[in-house]
Amino acid sequence: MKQRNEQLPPGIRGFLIRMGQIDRRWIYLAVAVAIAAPMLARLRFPEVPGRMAQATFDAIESIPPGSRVLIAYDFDPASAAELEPMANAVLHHCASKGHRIALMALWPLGKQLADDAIRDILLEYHPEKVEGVDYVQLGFKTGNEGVIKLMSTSIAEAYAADASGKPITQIPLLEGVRTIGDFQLIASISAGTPGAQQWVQYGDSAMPDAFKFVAGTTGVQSSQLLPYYPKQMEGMLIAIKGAAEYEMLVTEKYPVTRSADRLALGRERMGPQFVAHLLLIGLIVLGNVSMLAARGWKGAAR
Amino acid sequence: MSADRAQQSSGAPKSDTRLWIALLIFGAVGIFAGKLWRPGPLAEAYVEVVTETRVLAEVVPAPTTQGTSTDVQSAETVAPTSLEQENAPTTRVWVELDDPRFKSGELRRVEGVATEVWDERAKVDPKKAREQIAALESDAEKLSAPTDPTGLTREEFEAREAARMNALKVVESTRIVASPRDSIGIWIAALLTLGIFSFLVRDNPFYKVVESILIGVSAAYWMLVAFWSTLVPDLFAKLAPDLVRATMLPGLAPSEHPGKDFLLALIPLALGMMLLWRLAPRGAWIAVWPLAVVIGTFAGMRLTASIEADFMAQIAATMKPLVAYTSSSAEGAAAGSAFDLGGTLAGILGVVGVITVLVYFFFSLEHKGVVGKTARVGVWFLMITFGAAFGFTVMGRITLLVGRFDFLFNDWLGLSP
Repeated sequence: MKQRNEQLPPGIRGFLIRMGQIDRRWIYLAVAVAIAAPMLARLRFPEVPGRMAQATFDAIESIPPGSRVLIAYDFDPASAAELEPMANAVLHHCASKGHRIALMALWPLGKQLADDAIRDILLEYHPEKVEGVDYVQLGFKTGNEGVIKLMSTSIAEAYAADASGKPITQIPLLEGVRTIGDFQLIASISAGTPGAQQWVQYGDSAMPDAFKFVAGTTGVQSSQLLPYYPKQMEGMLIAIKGAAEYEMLVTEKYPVTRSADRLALGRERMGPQFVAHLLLIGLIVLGNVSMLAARGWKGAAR
Repeated sequence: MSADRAQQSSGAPKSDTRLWIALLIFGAVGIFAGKLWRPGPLAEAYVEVVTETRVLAEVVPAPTTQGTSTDVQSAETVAPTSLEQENAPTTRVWVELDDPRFKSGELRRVEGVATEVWDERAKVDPKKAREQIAALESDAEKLSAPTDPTGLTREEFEAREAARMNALKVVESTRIVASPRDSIGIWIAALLTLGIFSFLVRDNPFYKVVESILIGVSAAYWMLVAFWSTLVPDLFAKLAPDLVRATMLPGLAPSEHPGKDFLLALIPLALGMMLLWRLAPRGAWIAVWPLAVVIGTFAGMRLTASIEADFMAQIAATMKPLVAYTSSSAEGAAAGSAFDLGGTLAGILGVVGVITVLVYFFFSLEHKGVVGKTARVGVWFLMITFGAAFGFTVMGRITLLVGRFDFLFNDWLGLSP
């Protein structure tokens, strides 16, 4: 094989070797262009829902309207590009289905992201929703997994009042709610620790079968969480791909007529993703071909 | 590494120059395209300003008024609790000036307390803001013309005029304005983003400054979060509730068990002080004790959770039938459910994967013969897992870059249609 490699015309071999030694900053620029161009051209592809996105959708659909749903914003702006689209879609889905929604955060800035979602999604598409009756913002609570552990025995111990300072005993939505087992579904939009894994370990395991649990995760975290699906997690949305598939399912069943961009962020971001992936695959192939041209098969195997 | 650096340093000026020129052209074209696409300032930002007014009111003690408030901002109890209706605690609440409960007699205003007035600013999407501003101007123009009385009775005229005045009041009170403060924020964020990106070309002073800002702001932010979310509510508020209410948290609710809370708060206070003893020149061993408490508590909490969620439940999840049917129940299988080829293959693959990977990590036997070949299969499973994890990571990182580009193109350059 090495002999065959050396039979390559010197020009092509030299070009391939030079391509393998290209300054990495040109690659950065190529990635930037591969992402910028489809964004500016608003390139978008149709999504086919995967098994996990469908399972998440079905979990929220399967509980009757009026059920209590707890959405944990366990992320911050650093991961918002990846997780905000799915958080928006989950919130819109729950509100459209008529569930009563409690929002909370185990990350300090998660509270502000939840506030934004209430303003931009909940009140934008569902202006009829009443605070305290249809939704409540519990806010951020320090303590990481300790908060989940505490909420599995007493929510009042963890959250004496909602984010605006109103005692939870005066909030109609939380009437009769003692622990997280009184919610029919919990969704954690998670960027790390504390997040979905801790909800499984300290919430779901403490009271299995008490509620359905679904999670939306970053790509980095997903391989760590995959073993929990489907036994300990009813559904799972993995990174922007999961968000795009889920967005499609939600907006097909519950379309919105205005400012629909906020419920299409996942699909919008899959266009640049596709082109960038093609570029990366091309670069990996090119790097390997260049290495083979320089060293031959035997040299490459070393 | 050194050869790589030498190569970079020898050919750096030429390559760098080309890269900088390419980046500058790219940036300039972006800005120029933005101006052509939609004329308007860069980093355009709008806010809706709503003037909020709150007055302090007392809830008039009556059985029908208990627990009906939905818009209470904060509440404080100013009398001790009692079961007797006439001795019921007087609850004071901050409510809007035109709260209907004033008219119904459920609330009465507390005299001698100044009205609180402030502006709430909510960000509005620039495109939506421009549309709303145009609509408001048009509405204001239409509503400013008095109602034509021709053909109307006096009652009809007065009703229409009242409706017009009310609508005009709403239009005039809606303030959507350009926000220079937010625009400056967008400019700063954009320049900081470009500063971080500049590291891709080479290390430079601009990047160093931005990196230092990031570290400084993050450290300060986390310090404040810890102070306001942990120290103040969980320690200071329990040790000196009146002082905290007067100086830091006016809305702090009175505790039902102040004495018990005080005594319990002494424990973390003592442990915290012992932990800080590490900084003292002598007696550093004292800091070991609170560390032991933290580690012991955390280990105990983690142990039970991990055994249940990551060990027992995972073993149970691995025990799946090798032959799968479209219905998972035994009744469904007996009733003639279709054979599920995908599920069967997934089950077999799962079992093979678990066994071979476990064999790879079994080091009591030398990896030779059957054990060696099985472990080799395990390595393949591990490699595929790592590859999938890397793929997910790439997808995540590209999305983050898309998010930053989204900000630069839309919020800063205004390239969104």
